[in-house]
Amino acid sequence: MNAIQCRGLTKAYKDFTLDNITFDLPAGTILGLVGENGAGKSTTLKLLMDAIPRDGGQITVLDTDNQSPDFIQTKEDIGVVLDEACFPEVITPRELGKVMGYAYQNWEQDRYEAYLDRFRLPPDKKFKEFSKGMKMKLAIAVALSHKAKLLLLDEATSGLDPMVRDEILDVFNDFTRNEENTVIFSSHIVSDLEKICDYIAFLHHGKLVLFEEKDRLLEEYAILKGTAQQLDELDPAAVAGKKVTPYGAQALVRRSLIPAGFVTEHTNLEDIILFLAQEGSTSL
Amino acid sequence: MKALLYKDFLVLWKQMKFVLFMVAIFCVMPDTGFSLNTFFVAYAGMLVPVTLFAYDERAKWDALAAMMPFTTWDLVLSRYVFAWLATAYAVFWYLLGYILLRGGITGESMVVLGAILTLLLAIQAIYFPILFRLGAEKGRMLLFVVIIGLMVLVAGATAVLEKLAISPSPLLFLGCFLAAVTMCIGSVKVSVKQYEQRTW
Repeated sequence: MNAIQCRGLTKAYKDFTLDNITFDLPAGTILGLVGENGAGKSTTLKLLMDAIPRDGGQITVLDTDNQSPDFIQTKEDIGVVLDEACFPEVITPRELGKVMGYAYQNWEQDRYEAYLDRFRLPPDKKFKEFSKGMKMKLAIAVALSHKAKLLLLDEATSGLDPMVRDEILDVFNDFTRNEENTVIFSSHIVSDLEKICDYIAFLHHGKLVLFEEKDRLLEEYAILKGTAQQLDELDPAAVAGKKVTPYGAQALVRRSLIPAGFVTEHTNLEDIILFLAQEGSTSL
Repeated sequence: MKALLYKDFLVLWKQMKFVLFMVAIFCVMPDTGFSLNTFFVAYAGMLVPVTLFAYDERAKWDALAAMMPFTTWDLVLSRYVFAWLATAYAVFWYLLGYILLRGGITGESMVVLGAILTLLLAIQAIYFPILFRLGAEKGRMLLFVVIIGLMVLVAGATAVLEKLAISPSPLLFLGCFLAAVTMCIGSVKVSVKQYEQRTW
């Protein structure tokens, strides 16, 4: 079963177009949505939630068309964490729990209080007095306290120190131990995505350049170092992207298309993304 | 909608306790000749909701609310309901002031109150769709344009009535009030359309 089916999603602004985004995300997986600032990550998440009008395409979330009247009910099953926590600044976590209790039919006050404890969030301190890390933890506590089956996280770890980020990634990992639960996690901290994601989607200038299983990507691609001339001799289909400097050349290559005798190096997600982000690289 | 109203109430109570106190005091107090009582009824009904819009905008609450299980109707109507509750709060103190300090409620006091409520509802009906479209930051300047426009309209209508030698009857006041209520109901629908077009 797919948690999300997205077909031909298009949204045009004056100076930016999210162009024909299509993907299926299986339930029970974590998708990392990566891309430079302004690539369309937040726009995609807003469109998945039908929070902004779209210009084309069709989206099904948890088996519900997101423009059908039933989608309001489906939103009960979706936890959202935005890059800023977006709660009124004078409200305390205790009061916020009450607001969310009125907003979500499946609100679990006990679970919420357990998260406040786990994250060491003082229940009676005003939101505006929280640090950035505490604000994000509060938003995550809310998102995880109404029996959500899908978590949408928009830059939920950006601006946080590595220890807090690690703590939060553990929480997301725990969430997906239930096989029905799915996470979409937008970030440009690629190392965070590499730690926890099953799938990677790479948005670049509003286009979906890549949507692939993370492990398959890491198995299939490698870095090849040599001279520019050596790289030019390769089958063009083998080269997904290359960088040529006065000191040598590097290419992101498909292992299976590289002739025997060439020595390749293991790559990581960050390298793959950086190569693909270069102009003229080959979409995978 | 209960969640939205409760959230607004919390924000209002914590951010604007002093304003609520001032509204109560100035609505109750004897008339000093500056129509402060009626001014504060209008203030509660207009500036309190506008300030709440601004607080939400600063917190980026709208971006989150659009992703929560609220219908657009919930999000829009809760704003109108809160504005009406704020107005009712001021009217309560206004009437209490008449009963306790101004020798009881008179026909004249009710006419003044009716006129201010009519004008207030008309302003809400015209201005709220603008707020929903542009947000509090951009829409704030237009509030004065709306108020001045309505004042000019009322002055013009009064001049025409005087020229035609028609004295304002209770029926005319009632008609204006009902027209303002109808405008407000229509305004909710327009605001929903505006809100759906907004991007966060």
